[in-house]
Amino acid sequence: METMTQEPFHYQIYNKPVRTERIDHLYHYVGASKVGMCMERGRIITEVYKKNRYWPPILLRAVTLKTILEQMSIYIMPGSLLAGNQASKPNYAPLFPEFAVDFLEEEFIYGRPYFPDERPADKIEYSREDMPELKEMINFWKGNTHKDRLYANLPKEAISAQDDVGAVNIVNFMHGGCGHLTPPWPWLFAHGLKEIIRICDENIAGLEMWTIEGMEKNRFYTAAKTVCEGMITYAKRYAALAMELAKKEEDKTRKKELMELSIICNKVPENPAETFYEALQFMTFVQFGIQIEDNAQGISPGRFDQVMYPFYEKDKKAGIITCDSATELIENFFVLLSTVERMRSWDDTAYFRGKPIFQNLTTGGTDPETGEDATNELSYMIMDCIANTRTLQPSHYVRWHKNTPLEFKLKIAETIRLGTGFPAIANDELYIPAMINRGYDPKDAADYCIEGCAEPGVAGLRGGRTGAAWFCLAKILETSLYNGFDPRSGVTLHQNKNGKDLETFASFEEVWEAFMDQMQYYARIHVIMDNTTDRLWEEYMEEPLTSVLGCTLTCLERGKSIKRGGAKYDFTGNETIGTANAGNSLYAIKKLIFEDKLLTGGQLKHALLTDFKDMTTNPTGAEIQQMCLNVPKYGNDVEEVDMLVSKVLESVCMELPKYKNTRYGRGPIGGIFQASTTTVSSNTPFGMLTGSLPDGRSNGMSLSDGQSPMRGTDTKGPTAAVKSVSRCNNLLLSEGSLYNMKLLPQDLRD
Amino acid sequence: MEQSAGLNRLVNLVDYYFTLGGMQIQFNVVSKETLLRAQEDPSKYQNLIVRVAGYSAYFVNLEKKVQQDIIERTEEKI
Repeated sequence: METMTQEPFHYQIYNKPVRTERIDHLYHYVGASKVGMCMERGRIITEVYKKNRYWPPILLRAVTLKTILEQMSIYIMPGSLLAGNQASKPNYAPLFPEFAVDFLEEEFIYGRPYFPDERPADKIEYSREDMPELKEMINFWKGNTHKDRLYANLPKEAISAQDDVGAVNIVNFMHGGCGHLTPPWPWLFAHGLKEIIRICDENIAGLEMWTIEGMEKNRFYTAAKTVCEGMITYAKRYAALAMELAKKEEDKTRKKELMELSIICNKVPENPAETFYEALQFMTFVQFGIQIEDNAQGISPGRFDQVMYPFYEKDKKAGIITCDSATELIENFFVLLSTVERMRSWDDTAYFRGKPIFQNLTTGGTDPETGEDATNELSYMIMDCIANTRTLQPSHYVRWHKNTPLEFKLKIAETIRLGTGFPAIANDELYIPAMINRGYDPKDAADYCIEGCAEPGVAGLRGGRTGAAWFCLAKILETSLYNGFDPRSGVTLHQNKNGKDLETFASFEEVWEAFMDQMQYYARIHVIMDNTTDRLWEEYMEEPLTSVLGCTLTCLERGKSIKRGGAKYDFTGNETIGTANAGNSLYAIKKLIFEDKLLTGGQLKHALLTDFKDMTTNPTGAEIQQMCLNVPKYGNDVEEVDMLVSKVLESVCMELPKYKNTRYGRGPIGGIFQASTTTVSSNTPFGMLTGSLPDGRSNGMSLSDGQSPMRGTDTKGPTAAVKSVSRCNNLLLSEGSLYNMKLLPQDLRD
Repeated sequence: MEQSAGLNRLVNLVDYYFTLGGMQIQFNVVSKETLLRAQEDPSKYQNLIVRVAGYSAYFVNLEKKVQQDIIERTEEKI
């Protein structure tokens, strides 16, 4: 590997991971299994729906999941100390035909635009022999999927805003559930699922079954009980498998390990977990169970160091665990989580390049009771586990606050230096007040963890809708420059109230007014899309397991699922894209046209519509592009442009909470929309849909990511860049902020 | 801890950003040279992980445009 040794100070490559033999084998075992498609879940759900499709949805969903958990293939990886799987092989994605089959037909059957194993990226292997069965499955579901219902329900203008203009997009939520939550681990570990079943039985016994409310609650409790029974069966199947493997095993140590695993799988999640090992196995089952239910992402282990520490401390004192054995178990857990895969359409992969699953693990932070720093031994061990495993899942965050010990900060920095992008850092002093500002109890807010990209939640308390529609400010700005007209699709959905365009705006105020007008219009479309999706989820795609394990106590108390208002806190998120492009463009218009008067609006309009390529004008298109690029940009500590970017973002942050989600007034605190600047990889596909912009960006180029300055335009060093980004009113970004910075390995070397 | 001057600078940058009112930050630590080499010869860089947005991914498995996005991000000197 000659190239590797020449690598300029690249830690990730030349600092080899330190793994035990077991973890190394597991890592390579998973890595050897290519990403593939697993037919099993699709096959089982199709059979259940053939038999029971007219049942009340929550009961149908419950019996479906229970049947899947009873029948799906299970395996225990060689050497693994933990059990659990989502599909028949590692890295295989189960099918969720109840959500959408159109892309399965287009891609798997017809190869349009590609057969999944021939995609240019994010390839999915599959067996051609399964295709006749898949075709039959598709035919059963066609016309009756969640996506079909959405297209039938959404107003035409909302569909056009997504499919023609490309200013908002919700495809991700047409293909699966929302997820984005953290189960209340301490409660689950202390009680076990048998306690949930007991509570359900107790509630059922007291229901007034002759009332509509009683009947609805009966459905919920019956469904919750059914899925918990399914989970217990799922675990006991592993217990039997482990015992069977133990009997055949010749290696004495492994035989003993498998027997111990068998005992644990018989015990949890039915019963409370008493040891670190049992709690971890409990968590593993729950992680997989929820992800098998409805293709959701962002199912998060949450504040792992806080939740697991009491078990670790107790076991260490009792002499049944050591730092090394716990580290190996955690690493084993990471490798297991990394086997999870999600089936996405080719179109959707553009928004989620590299197949993120977002099982987020949060380390550090404060104790919500005392407000003191909560870093413990496990916090440090997790950083080592990241360095040792280098798996893409789970995804990692640390909470950083005034009293985080310097030693831990340095440990975090050392982990970051490795270059895997883990962990990302959340500032407690912003996240907590931002949550309190939306109505969280201060103690709950202080216990937050990240679920998804950067969205805060609290274990067991937040549910509803964390991820939500993409909202492309760059595209929205573009339409406001042409009086609502989208040059690429030729569609006008909403004309500017002032009826003006770039050629006729008389002042910068009129430009701003038009942008606000379009922003408000598309925000309304965004809300229509999300609330329609939620309503259809509630009506047809109930999630009994996600509800009862995600927001356990409130769902059980109210006798209803999360989508009907079962969570303590419920907010619908947002994903704002192209903030830097929109702000920079507005500033360029202000400078070039209205302040310095170097160009007329007409000249700029023509240059944009010809992608800065018309060389017959004076100045030429290329010269105009250069003028646009020369205007100061966000990310360089230039207050005027930074404040404009901040104002753009603030306007979104103020607009969205005016809207209520479908759970408003039905139990949860919140019930409104709130903004974030998470983009995943959507800045690329949205860039392809967005024409040339006044910031000098050419037609089709990727937009700025997250809340970051437009790449390559932040040239005054990191201090200037962070000053700019922190000028945004981040307190209002209660759904999370995302800022990417790239550093050079050699700068961290000394 | 060995080699801690660079790490201290990183810690100070995060502290400074957060004192100013920054909410979240995440880092790629990789040079353009490495990324370009990985693009040219993916087989040798199968395990190279980069931060895309709110997640990390294997660089060589990313579609070209996303790779380009990461390559073009400013390399900040600290």
